[in-house]
Amino acid sequence: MIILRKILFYLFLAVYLVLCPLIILYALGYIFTPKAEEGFAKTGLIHLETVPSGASLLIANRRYGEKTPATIRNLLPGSYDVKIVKPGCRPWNRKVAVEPGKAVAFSQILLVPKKVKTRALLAQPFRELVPIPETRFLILFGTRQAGDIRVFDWKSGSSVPLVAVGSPLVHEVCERYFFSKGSPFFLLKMSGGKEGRYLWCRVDREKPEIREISDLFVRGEPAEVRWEGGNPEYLFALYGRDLVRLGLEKKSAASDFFTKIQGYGLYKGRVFGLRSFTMIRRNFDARAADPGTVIEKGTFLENLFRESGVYKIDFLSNDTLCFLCENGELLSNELPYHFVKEGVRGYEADPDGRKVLLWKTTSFGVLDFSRPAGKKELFKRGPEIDWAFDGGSDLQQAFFVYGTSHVLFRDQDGLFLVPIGEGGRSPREFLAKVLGNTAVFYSDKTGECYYLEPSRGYLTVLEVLPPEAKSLVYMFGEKEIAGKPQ
Amino acid sequence: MKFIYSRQGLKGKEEFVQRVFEILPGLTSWTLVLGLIGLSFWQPLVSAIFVIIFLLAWIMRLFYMTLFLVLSYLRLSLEKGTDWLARARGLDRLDLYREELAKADRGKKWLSRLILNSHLRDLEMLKTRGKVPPLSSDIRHLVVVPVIKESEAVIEANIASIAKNTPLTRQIVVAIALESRAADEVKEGVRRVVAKYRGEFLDLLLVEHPEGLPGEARVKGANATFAAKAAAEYFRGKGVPFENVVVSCFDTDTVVRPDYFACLTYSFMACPDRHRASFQPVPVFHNNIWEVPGFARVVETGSSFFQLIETTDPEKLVTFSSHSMSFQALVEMGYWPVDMISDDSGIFWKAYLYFEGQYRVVPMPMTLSMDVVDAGTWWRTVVSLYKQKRRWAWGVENFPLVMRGFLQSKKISLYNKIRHGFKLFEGHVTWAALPFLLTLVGWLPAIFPSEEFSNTVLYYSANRFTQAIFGLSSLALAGTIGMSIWLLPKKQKKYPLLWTLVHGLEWFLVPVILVFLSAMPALDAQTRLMFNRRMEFWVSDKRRQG
Repeated sequence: MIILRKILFYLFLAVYLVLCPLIILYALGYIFTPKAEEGFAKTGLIHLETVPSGASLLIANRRYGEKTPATIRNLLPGSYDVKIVKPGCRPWNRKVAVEPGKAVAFSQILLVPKKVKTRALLAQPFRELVPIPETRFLILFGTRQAGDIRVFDWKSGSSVPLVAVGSPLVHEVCERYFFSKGSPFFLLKMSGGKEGRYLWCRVDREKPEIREISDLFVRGEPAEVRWEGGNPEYLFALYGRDLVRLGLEKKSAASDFFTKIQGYGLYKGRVFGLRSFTMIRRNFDARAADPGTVIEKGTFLENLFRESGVYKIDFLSNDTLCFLCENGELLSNELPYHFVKEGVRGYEADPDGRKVLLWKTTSFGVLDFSRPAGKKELFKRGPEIDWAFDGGSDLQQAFFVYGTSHVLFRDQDGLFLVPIGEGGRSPREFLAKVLGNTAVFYSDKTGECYYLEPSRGYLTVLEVLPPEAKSLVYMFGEKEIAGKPQ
Repeated sequence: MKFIYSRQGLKGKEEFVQRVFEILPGLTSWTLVLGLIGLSFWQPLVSAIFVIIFLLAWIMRLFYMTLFLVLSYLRLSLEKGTDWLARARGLDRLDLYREELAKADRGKKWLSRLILNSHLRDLEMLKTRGKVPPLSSDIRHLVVVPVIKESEAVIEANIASIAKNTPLTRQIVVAIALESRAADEVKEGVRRVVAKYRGEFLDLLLVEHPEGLPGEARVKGANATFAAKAAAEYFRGKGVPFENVVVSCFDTDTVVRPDYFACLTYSFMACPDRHRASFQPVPVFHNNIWEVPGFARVVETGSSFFQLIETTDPEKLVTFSSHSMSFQALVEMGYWPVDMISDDSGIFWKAYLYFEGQYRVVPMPMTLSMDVVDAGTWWRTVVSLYKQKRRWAWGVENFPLVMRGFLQSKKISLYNKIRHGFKLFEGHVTWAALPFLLTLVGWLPAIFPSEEFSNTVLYYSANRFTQAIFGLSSLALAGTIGMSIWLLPKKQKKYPLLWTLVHGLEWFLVPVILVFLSAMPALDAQTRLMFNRRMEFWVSDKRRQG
């Protein structure tokens, strides 16, 4: 037994001593190529995961037996044409540069169906679609008459008229409307009377509740009205550079809530204002004599903000603010403060508020606040915008899709999908034509895009994500602050 | 070599060297575990390479051990029917016996031929070395059974099993070593057992060990030593030469087979250097194996398997738990360590140093059965098992003493010093660190990859390699499950097929057990030693049902 044990011990030891370095070298990407000029070569790999899975791979015109998800190893450094094909889906093509010892991973490839699935949800013509962000409600205008406005709940798939049939409001015409993200209320300004009528509509009821609040608008028509939450007590109306607080319960208007401001934003029961290069703050229910708390002051802000600019202040998270000027200048309270000089048309943040998708007329980019700053940088630079797409003609809206791996955007009357973060610019995939001059809405929770079909104006839904991708998206969820059934 | 196998009374350089070697195992284990956790975040690439090295070493080791587990089990099975007494009697007339065996029909089965050849080799060796053994009828067995809190049922099961070793019982002296601090009901139980079995043996001594003797700690070794000294007086009084006495120190819950002492007699006689050897049976934990929770069964079956594997390597075998040795050697070297918890392994190292490397452990192809820890409830059994494993792992206290002894010894070869020192050190460090590396740290680079690491070939390869290793290890696990089914005693009551399958699934607890009931107690023990926090002997909870 002793001799046998010794023999086996040395045998196992020899196998280990031979195997161990070989396995480590192989794990690092080294292979032996029979060609005399190469010998030992350090290879790279390409990792591919698709939705739907089970797609075939062609790399440098060589067909591989593996189906996605797949890891193709032992690729000598160089550029490879990678093609993924699956029956019924559009092929996915990329030129991929493989470096020694490196892995190139495409872990969220969405294979777009050749024929995108769409279906009409409401077979009646509409002219305008107004989604209330971060709620489940879409407001649909057949005409501007109150009787032709419907509220659609995309979660349940049901719709109700905003104004009940037979109501005296049916024939009144809507001139303007206001909404606030995450709130199931909708403010309509109707024509009629000297200054018009203001209707305060709650849309998360079985039958929308409407009450007139025209008395609050004694100063006439505001430039903007905003509020916060599922049961707001106050509205904040902007008249020129003055912010007026309108008390819904007390039916009062505090005309000097903030004066001479350059911009304002609402966040967690507080109003934040920018005045004379000073950031000030007041609670929604602050008394009239309360001057407001100064939270930032000095020449620093003077250098940051333009005197003539008017800014929309938006909280992406507790710590991150965005300032969007009317000329499209985008600033933030995080380094490097100035992100875009002009031309930003809009932006959307991911559910964590760390990644921001922003778009201009012809391009869109991603600003990633979560990316750590380089440790060895002499000057702290902060995040930079990664302009992922350029070449549009009139970008109106954009949405993160499948987490933050893709972007769905509306360019004129076309709906397109583009993968991002793949290194380099990726081609856009056309999905559908939509009715121009009105919004579309995308929910990453359902993986569906809601739009008005251009020829008849029907409310239509388009399946952007295949079913197996939705389960992943569900893990991340989607903001839906208000609007839940009572 | 005159070496005091104790850490007591050390001063100056000796104390410093002792502390260095006390710190070394714990420091190494912690460095490995924490270092690899740190590396996983700081240098995941380096960490992943280390993980590959460890995992490959582990899987090779696993297969190597599984192979020897099977071989050891085969040997045990083949020797099961051996008439050990006939062999021992044969040694009394060595030349004639050799001739008889040489002429005997060796049978057609190659396995029986293998056994016979092995037996003939033993005889050949004995003849060549010219170390004539005493006559089997002149051999006396001293069995020391230390008792402190064990129940009467447990003690009686031990003594009754020895009493079944006819016809050798008239050559056996049992010495029950009773701690004076034991509870009254324990003492009464012992007295009842003594009264019941006194007539069964050559003699049954009850030796009460007083508390607080100078130089002693509250450990089992002190109790056993006191009883062995009393027995020495007894043998002197009876005129029995110590070289004819084989002493066995049994844990109280030990149950021996009816041919255990016959096998021990043969092993002692057949060993040319019988006074420079310990005789180690295979301890298996079967007494109450079907009465304890599943995790305890898995833990102790694993311990039994480990001992089975160890017996295949006599060059590195160390005494564990119940063991036997020459009484002459024991007296000569000054009995068991009286201030150490791990007296079972301590006695081997003490002898190895005392006899300057001329000491070894002879594996006996014989099992003896002990109790699995059973504290009544599930949770108390977990705690009790943890404490038992920590006590076993406290065997690391031998490392600094052995290393100090090696530094002083001029006669032990450098090769043997390195071989034994490394095995002792590596065994304890592996015990404490490897399960953490396998079950937790090894996955960290894959679970929390940095962006930089996740873009490397190694990130993908390491994942694939880890999965392959765990796939292979499940093969070894399947073998272990099969072995456990063969090795474990038959269940006393019939269980439905489903329940049998569930018993098989208990083995999937191995990763959890490895961490919580193996690595953690070992790391605990090493950390205590590192910080010079000595442990007291803690007796495991064991009970009998019915």
